[in-house]
Amino acid sequence: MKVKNPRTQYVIELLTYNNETKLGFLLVSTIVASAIIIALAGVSILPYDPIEQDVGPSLAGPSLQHLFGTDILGRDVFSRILYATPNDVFVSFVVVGVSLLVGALLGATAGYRGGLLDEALMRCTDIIFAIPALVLAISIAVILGTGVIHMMYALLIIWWPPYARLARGEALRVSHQNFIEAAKASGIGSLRILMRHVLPNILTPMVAYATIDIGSVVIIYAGLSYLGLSIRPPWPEWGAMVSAYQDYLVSAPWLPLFPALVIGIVVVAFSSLGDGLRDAVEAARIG
Amino acid sequence: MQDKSVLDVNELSVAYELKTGAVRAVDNVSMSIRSHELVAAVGESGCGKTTLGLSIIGLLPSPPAKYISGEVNFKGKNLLSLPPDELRLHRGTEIAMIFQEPMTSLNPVFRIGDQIQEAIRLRNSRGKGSMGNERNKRGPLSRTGASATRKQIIDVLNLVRIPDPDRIANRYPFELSGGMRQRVMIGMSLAQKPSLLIADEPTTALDVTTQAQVLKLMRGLMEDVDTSILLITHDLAVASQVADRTAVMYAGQIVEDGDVLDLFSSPLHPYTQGLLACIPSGSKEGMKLRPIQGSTPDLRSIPAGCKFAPRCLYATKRCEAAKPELRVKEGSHRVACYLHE
Amino acid sequence: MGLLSFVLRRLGLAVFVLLGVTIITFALSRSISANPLVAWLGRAASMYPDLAAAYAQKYHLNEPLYVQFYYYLVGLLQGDLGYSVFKGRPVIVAIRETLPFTLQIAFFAILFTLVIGIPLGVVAAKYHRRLADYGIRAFYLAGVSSPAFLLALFLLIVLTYTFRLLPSGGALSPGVPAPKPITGFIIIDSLLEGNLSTFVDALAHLVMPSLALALGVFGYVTRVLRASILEVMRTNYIRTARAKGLDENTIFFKHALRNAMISVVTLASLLTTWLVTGTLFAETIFTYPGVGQYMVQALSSLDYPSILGITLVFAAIIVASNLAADILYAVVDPEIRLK
Repeated sequence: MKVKNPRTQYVIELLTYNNETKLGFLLVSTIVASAIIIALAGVSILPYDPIEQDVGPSLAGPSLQHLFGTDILGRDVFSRILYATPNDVFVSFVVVGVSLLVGALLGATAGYRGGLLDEALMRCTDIIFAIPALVLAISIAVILGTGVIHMMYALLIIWWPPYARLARGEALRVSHQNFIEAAKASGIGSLRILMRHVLPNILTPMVAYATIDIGSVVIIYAGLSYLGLSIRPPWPEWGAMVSAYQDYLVSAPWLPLFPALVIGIVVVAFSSLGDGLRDAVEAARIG
Repeated sequence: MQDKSVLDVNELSVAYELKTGAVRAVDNVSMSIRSHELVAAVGESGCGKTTLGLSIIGLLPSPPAKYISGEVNFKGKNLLSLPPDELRLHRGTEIAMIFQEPMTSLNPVFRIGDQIQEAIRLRNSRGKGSMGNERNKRGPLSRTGASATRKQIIDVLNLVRIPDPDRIANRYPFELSGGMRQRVMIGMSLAQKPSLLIADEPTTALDVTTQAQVLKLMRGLMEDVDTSILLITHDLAVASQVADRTAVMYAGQIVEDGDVLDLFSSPLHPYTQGLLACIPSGSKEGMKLRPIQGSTPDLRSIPAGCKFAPRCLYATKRCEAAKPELRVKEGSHRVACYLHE
Repeated sequence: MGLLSFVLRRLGLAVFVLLGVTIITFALSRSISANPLVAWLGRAASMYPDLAAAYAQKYHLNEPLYVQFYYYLVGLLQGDLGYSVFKGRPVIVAIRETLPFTLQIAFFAILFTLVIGIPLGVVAAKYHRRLADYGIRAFYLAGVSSPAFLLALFLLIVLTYTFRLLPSGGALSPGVPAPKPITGFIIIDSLLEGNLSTFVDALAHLVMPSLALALGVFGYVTRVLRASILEVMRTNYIRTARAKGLDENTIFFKHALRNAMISVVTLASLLTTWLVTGTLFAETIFTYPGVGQYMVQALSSLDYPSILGITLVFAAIIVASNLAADILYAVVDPEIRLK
């Protein structure tokens, strides 16, 4: 389909580049739309109240009334999983969004300016990279306390380095192109060059990476909630549900497996879209 | 006394089948190369000379390329009729090819000496014996003949005049300059004792001084090693320096060929004349460079008449109606133009 | 000569990074509570006043921060990571006991990753854009997208509960005696003792946690190798190899693969990070007594010294493995040595 605005046209072309992006985009839109609807509409839109007990028989298998079965307290698993959706989506979008911005600014400045600033940035990211994200998040969580917001803060502190590195690399590449030299020669100030010329050109590959990265945040966040660092019961959270239902692996396998599968599917959705976007950006660059 | 011809290309046509249409890259080309002869194929980019080279050695990517008609006769055998396995046996040790980009043509993770050794081993295992006129004393079936000695590797490097060959053999490709790498390529391909070496723009990526050295080397080697060379180039000046005969190609066809001196002193085809007029030279000081009008034709559409007609100053109705054949004008000088019939 | 200076430079960088990590852990330890002793001793700070006093003196906790940091470093170099109330022993001792188990899992996880990932990458490249390629892609996408606990649970269901192939947890089956601790690695120790049945039993218990980790990361190897092989096959030097007259097998396995493998080495640092992260979940689900399980237990009991100590140790492991990977990369790709 052709649209008048060339920018919109470009975005549409990226999103429909190949089958992977189309599928990914479909899944991602569904997930994000559900998250928004559920966050706004609340409990009323779900088949059952997620924390209400005994809405069905205890430990019932998947059926038409209870799509994902019920847990030991008679709560509907499907409703619980749905209700937890906005959590993961919101946290991952915020973490990735902020990291993208912070990383882009830091990295672009470092890449463009070079010198001491660049060295300092590289060393700082080296140091943060040396500690596994999960472990560092746990250490920070121990200080900040539990809860969704605290987890989000912990992740925000540690998630920016890959974006800074990426932005730096892209900025280096762009800085040596002729139009930047031309801008410098005509006396435009550094900050303006950075904002108007460098940043817009490095954003597209960063967005592709960010899309895949949302999946990574979901996995780590699920891991943190599995370890009990996130939401408090009885409110549902995918990772926490897996950990809570783990003991029923043999007697009621749907209990731990469904939330775990949902995590996997969400990650696949973002990965596919992001992968496809990355291929599309590559192709646009070569062509 | 006529030497037997090593290569005899007979009415060869090759096309690429693309989404936008079929492109006739080589159109009814006939030429031959005799032993100890250096033939240059000259023309602009896209005229089909590289495709011609690849067709001869059998390295055309087979989709999208397609052989439409004709024969490539090498020492009497039609290579196009051979199954791929048998064709492969001819590569390297009968027909060799070197390419334009010496910087990326050598495997970066193997040392120079090892890569040359691989070429020598291949030659030995195919029973071609060692270089020069020595025969492999134990006969072609001997297994121990399959390995290559250090001395043989050094000999190859010496052949292409690489200084300090012992040290260079231990180096990796990235440690050598472009000119050196191209020499290694030449040495490596000649080490396999091919009867025909196809060199596709071997000096284009090199600076002018190195270019002259490499050309001189190739010419000199032809005498030492029993090889003919097909030199593909866009540069007439290069052809004039080293070729015995030159074939001028345009839009997939040979429009003129013959002895290099004849061609340069009396060019017959208007295209050849135009090319020669383009070469800046001291004797033409003060005169404007005269490029040939127009641009190369779209090879997807095959016009009825002479392909050069749209750009030719002397074109007539006859030229647009039917294609002129490549005919002998005098001795070995052939031309495809109605002006000379 | 180039290799030696390269190694020295990388070593210097590694030391620098490790120093930076200690700054972070130091900062974290001071942020836990107003009482800095809590970071060292946890609840023991109030339980054992003598021990607390000794620590306060040793680490000069009354002096300015930079002095404290200096003594913190000194303490680290002496191997002092604090005391764990939960474990009832110094953190460093607890780590020394549990680390061999985690390293065993890491070893087999890497082995499985390569054994699964590399052949699949080769096959996907050879049959690219055909059914096998798409199938492999779906497989590794599933692996990489699944959280570690999903893979562990999945294996548990299939291998233990459905097919009864492997034990459900622990390092050894109940009733099997542990071998004499010579190296601390029960795999090695049981062999040294000549106790084959213990060796086999220990191996059986290792398979699932290692496999769970490997399934989560092999996808990266496959994807990178596939892309690298396809890229290499389009290069000019492969064209040269064809022009030489070499057969396709030699070209693929000798010339192409050798170059493509280089890209796999660059994955090493990414892999170690993911593996380390995964052990927390795999060891918990399979009740395997490694550092991961230790970390999770320390978390539930808010044992600060253990948490910070393990963080430091994990970072050290990653820095060491990055260094090893860099060196391996320089060995494999001669051009890197000059950079």
